[in-house]
Amino acid sequence: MIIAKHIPALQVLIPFFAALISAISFNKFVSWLIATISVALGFALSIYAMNFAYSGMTYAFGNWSAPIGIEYRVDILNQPVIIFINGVLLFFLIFGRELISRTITDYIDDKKQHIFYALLLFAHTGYLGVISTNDLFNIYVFIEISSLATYVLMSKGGNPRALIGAFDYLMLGTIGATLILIGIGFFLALTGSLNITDVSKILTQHYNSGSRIIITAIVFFLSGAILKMAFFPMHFWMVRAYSSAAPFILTYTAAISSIFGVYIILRFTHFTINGELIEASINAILRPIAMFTIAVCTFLALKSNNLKKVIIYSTASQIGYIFLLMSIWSARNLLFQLLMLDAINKIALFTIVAHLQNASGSLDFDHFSSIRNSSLFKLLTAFSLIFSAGLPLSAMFFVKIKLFDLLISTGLFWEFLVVILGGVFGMLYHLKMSRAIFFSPKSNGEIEINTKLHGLCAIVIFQIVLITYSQDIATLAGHTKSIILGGS
Amino acid sequence: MQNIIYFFAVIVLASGLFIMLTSDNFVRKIIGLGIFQSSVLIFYIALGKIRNGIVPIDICVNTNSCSHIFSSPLPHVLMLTAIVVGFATMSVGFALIYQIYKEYGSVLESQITQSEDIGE
Repeated sequence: MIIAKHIPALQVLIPFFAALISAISFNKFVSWLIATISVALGFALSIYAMNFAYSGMTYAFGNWSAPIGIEYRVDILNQPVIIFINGVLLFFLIFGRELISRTITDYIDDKKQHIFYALLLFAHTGYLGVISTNDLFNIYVFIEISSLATYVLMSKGGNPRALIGAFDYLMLGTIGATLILIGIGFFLALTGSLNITDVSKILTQHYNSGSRIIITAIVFFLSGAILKMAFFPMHFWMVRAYSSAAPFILTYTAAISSIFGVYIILRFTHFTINGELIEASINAILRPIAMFTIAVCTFLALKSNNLKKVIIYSTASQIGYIFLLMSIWSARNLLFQLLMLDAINKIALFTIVAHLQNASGSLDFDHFSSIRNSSLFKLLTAFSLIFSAGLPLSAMFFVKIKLFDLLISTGLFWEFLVVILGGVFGMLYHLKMSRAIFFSPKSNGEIEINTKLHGLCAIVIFQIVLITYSQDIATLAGHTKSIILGGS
Repeated sequence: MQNIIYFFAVIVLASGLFIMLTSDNFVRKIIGLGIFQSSVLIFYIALGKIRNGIVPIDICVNTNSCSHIFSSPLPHVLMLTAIVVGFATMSVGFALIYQIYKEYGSVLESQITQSEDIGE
């Protein structure tokens, strides 16, 4: 088939052209339809492309082959991530139409509402581009494309404070991307190439010379990537931007941003440079910060007095877990399982927050309105909270058990203690959330959930399916990746 | 002395970062962001230039025995993209500032935080 040859490029170009068309459609429904069709098409293509992922497939743009031209690739590290991102956006578009229009586009001028979907597709193009490309400068350009669209998406919604949050995000996001660009500049100076495969080949000759340029380049690139990912010392912008943004847009951005950041870091540490060289320093620097993050962010989540803030701090603490797993060599096949489960939990929780905020309920625990007559909503919320807390029989529970087992068997007792502490705080703040949602007094006022719940239904059913098939999906998403990354 | 241009780039980078992080006015923050991004342009373009290098145009008849040294055109091309990206970032930033001004009637961070504290 002639199309099959072009799949790596088509995956990125379909949402890009759909974005251009939906920007000139001038109708909200038409632009939603274009977005949904293009993302569904991209989703189908990305599943089909899994066939080529095991053997690896490259695509040279304009037939300019690798070191000179720009190269896209499909392999076992990026293709599952592409499928996941497409799936999240498809879910967001199909099930979220009512919530998008009530909580986000109703606040936009009537004539400009179709632009929302165009921006969503531009952000999606950026994410897919970073993940597909095998060229360092292309990574920078696509990071900027996705960020510029995301800044605008984050600034929309009923709360004017979202504008300030989005502005902060713009400042810090641009600083992060510029640091990445400087890192790429050092690699260009040293190797004269931008293709990741080519750069890593040339760099092997330079490792023994003890060149300080390599260290500078690595430091710039990684600090930029960590800043973009909102790892602990630099997490303030995330808390500010997320807490004022419309909750439903966070189901998309919060679910994708951490898996996207981990992908950039792994692509860099294992394909561009020799990961084993910096492993010791990563362990020495990142692991203590990761442990500190888990302890502090779960504590802050427990202390905060607002449902949305609790979930945001919980997101920040998950970034700590992710870096802890990244710094333990043998834990890497758990990394992608944890990332995926956490992203799905966050989608469920932010959807609940969007439903509550749409019913104009207060999200502060002190004035939390009691919910009337929506037993289905309460049931689904109970399921989501159980899955998110990692109580027995949820997929998260098995991952946590494996993590405990692994930490004990490798003799990392301090890490074990911190993870236990984080787990206890996690249980407590989930308890706090469920107490607010289910048992608030009627004196705080009553609200009724009058939005359709099929999106929440779908995500809960998906989570139940995950319990049974979590091992299979883990094999697909985590285990094969850890083979390619050289873990056990 | 040949590395002095990189020190210049570092000075521009640091002053951009300083303006961005210390000013109270959102417009000044965006100006700082522009200066910060310009330092990368200096850095990249300096990478492409070598001593006695000339403009990279095809002036030799026989490419195998060419006596000229050429500067690398690649960093310049990359920076064209970076300039466009920087321009787009500034535009989005100014659009956000305009919206903030319409909402709060001010572009000073301290005033906005104050009015929010009173509002709560």
